[in-house]
Amino acid sequence: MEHPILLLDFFHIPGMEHSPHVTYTWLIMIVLIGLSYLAMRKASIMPNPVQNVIELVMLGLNNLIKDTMGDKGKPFIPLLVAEAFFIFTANMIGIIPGFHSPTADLNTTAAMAIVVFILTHIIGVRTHGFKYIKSFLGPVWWLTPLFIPVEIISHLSRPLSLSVRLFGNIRGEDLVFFILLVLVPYLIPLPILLLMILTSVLQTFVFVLLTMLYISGALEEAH
Amino acid sequence: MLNIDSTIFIQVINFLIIIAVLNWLLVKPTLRILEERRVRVEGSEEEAGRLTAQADKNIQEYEQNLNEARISAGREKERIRMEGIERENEIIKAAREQSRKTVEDMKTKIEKEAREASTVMKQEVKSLSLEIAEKVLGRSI
Repeated sequence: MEHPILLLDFFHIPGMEHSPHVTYTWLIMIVLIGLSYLAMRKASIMPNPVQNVIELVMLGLNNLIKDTMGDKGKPFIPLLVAEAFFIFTANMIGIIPGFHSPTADLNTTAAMAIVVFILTHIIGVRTHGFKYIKSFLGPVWWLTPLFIPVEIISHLSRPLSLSVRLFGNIRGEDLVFFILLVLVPYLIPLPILLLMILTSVLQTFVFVLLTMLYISGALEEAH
Repeated sequence: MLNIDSTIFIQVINFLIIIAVLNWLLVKPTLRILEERRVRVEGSEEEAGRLTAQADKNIQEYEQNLNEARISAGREKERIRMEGIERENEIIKAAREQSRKTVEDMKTKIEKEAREASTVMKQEVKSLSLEIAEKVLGRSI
C-alpha cells in the first residue's frame, strides 16, 4: 500500500514510476544539500539562525559519538551525521500528505544497512588485519565449529535487524496513520501524528547508535 | 515495499552520495567552525586571565607605592617634629640665657649704684658731721 496520491508522480521520471522511495530519496537529497548550503554558505563564528540550528544538532551528534566511541569515532562522523540527517528527514517526510518515506521501503533501509555492514568489516580487517578473522573462531580452538556459524549468523543478523527494524517501524506507522485516516478522518489521527514524530526520532537514534556500536565493535574486536 | 529489487543499488549509491556531499557541505564546515570557536573562546579566556593578572599586579604595585609614600610621609613628619622640638629647646635656652644675663646686669648695676650711693653718703656724712660739730662748738674746725 502506497500513498494514494504522491506529489512526485506528477513528474513522471522514466523507470521510477513504481519506486517512489528512490524519487523521494532524491528529493530529500536536494532538501538536505540545499539546507546545508543555506546553513553553511556564510558560515561564521557568529552563527546565522539556520546555522545555529544545524550547529546545535551537530554538536549533539558530536557529543553522542564522542560519548559512545571516544576519539576513535572521529573518522565516522560524516557517515553518522549523514545517517542521522537522512533517516530523520526520510522518516518525517512521510507525515506530510503527498510525500512518501523512503525509509518505508526495505530497499532504502537495506542499502544503508549493507553500507554499514560492509564498512564495519572493512574497518575490522584494516584495524586488526588477519586477527580480525580470529574473532570469528571463538575463544578456544575446539569450540570453533560451533562459533563460526554462530558468529556468521550474528553478523548477518545485524544488517537484517537494522534494515527491517527501521523499515517496519516507518512502514507500520504510515499504515496505521492511513488506516486511521480512512476510518476516522478528524482529530483521532492527531495522537498518531505525535507518535509518528516520536518513532521517527527514536528510529533515527537507534539506527545511528547501532551503527556506532557495530563500528566500535569492529574497532575493538580480536583481543 | 518488502521485496528487494534493483533499486537497492540506486539507494546504496544515493546513500554514499549523501555521505560525501553532506561531509563536504555540512560536517567539515561545522566541525571547522566549532573548533575555531573553541580555540577562540580558549584564547579569549587566556587573554582575560592575562589581563586579570596584569590588573592584580597593577593593584599590588599601587598599594606598594601607597605604602611606601605613607612610610616616607611618616618619616618626614617625624623629622619635622624633631626639628621643631630642637628649635623649641634652642629658643628656650636662648631666652633663659638672656634672662640670666639681664638679671646679672641688673645686679651689677644695682651694686654699682649702691656703692656710689654709699660713697656719696660717706662724703656727706663727713661734711655733715663737720657741720654739726661746728654748730655745736660754735666755731669752725
